[in-house]
Amino acid sequence: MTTKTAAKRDVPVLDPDLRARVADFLADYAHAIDDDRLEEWPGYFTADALYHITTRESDAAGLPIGIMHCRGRGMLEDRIKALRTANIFEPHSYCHILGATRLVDQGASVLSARTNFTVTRTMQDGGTDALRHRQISRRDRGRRRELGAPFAAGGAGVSAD
Amino acid sequence: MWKAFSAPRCARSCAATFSRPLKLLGYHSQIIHNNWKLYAENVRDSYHATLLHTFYTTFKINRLDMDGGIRITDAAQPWHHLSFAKRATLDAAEEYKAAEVHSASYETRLNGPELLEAWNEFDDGITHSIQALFPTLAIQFTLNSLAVRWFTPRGVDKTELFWMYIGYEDDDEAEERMRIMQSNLTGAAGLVSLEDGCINEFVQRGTKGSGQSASAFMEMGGKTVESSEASRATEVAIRGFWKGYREIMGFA
Repeated sequence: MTTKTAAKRDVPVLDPDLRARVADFLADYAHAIDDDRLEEWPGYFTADALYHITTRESDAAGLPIGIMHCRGRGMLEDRIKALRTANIFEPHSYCHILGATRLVDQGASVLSARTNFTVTRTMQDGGTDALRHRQISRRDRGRRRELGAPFAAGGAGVSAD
Repeated sequence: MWKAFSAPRCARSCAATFSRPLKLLGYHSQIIHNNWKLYAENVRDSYHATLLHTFYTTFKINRLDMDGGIRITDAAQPWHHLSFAKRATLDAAEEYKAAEVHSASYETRLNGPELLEAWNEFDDGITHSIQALFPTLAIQFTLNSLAVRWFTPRGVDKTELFWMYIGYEDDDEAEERMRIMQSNLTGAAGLVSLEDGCINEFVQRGTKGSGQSASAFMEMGGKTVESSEASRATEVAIRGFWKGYREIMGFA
């Protein structure tokens, strides 16, 4: 039997200026993708960033491989380079709908942010799929970590790190 | 039970791959919008990997100008095969440059080059292999990324493709890290395999045609199903699949 323990309550950041700045940062990030300004995307990360997309199941099981795993901005830049010059895929466009951002002060100059979001992907024939995600962004000494589950069928995201 | 089924069908390749205790590293699935048999062909088609998948060609992971071949791994039921390539044997063919093959047109420098810092997993020089087990299973070793793929029909034109990534219990931290890194090559968002999801859908649409009664037929060279140890420029693996399918379905 497990003992039920009360969930630890994070202390939310209430400073409106800080909250607005983080929300703007995340909106800019999403709009860069929606507007196909993909070359800007790696610039939202620090040089030693960890970018990790996984599924709810893999995350809950503590498994290290999810869907995408990039260590360092270089690997993010390679993604864009591959997309622009190499990969073959059907043209499509994205639209991110962002939920409210909840910001938590982790101490030692570390903020973590959580923003749920939905992405629609519209293909050449107008067909549109809705992909649901939960995104965790964490500013951790300048490193940014993201969690989401873009390809899971009807995926509803993952738990926080 | 797995051993009883697989051992005679994939011969040495499975024995070597599964010779040490395994460790699950992750899994996911994706929906691809094509009939399951198109993905069965995709796994067996040894041309497209080096024509379509730029990443393989440019970074010299898998090219037809490396030593490689198709080994039919069960003589009694030639429905299963191993496709393999040896990276160290690349003898860069002029044709790749001269013909401006799409898949060789990529800039040859990575900003994150550690992705491809691989070590030789086995002493046979094979650095890329796909062992296909009829009808819907494939065991992939790409550099140091070991994955088991299987797929299941979700409708006439809808297939769910599963990816399971595996390492070994005795992997050290650096080895596990490399397997995690190289998982970026395959899977739903794989630098290489993301293209298969799209291409198969194109083939599905093309095969269906635009009219109600339209159909497509493309005959490939040859009729036999036998190993091709020296070249992967062959359709033997695809013919092997259809041989099995026709026999089981009573179309033979």
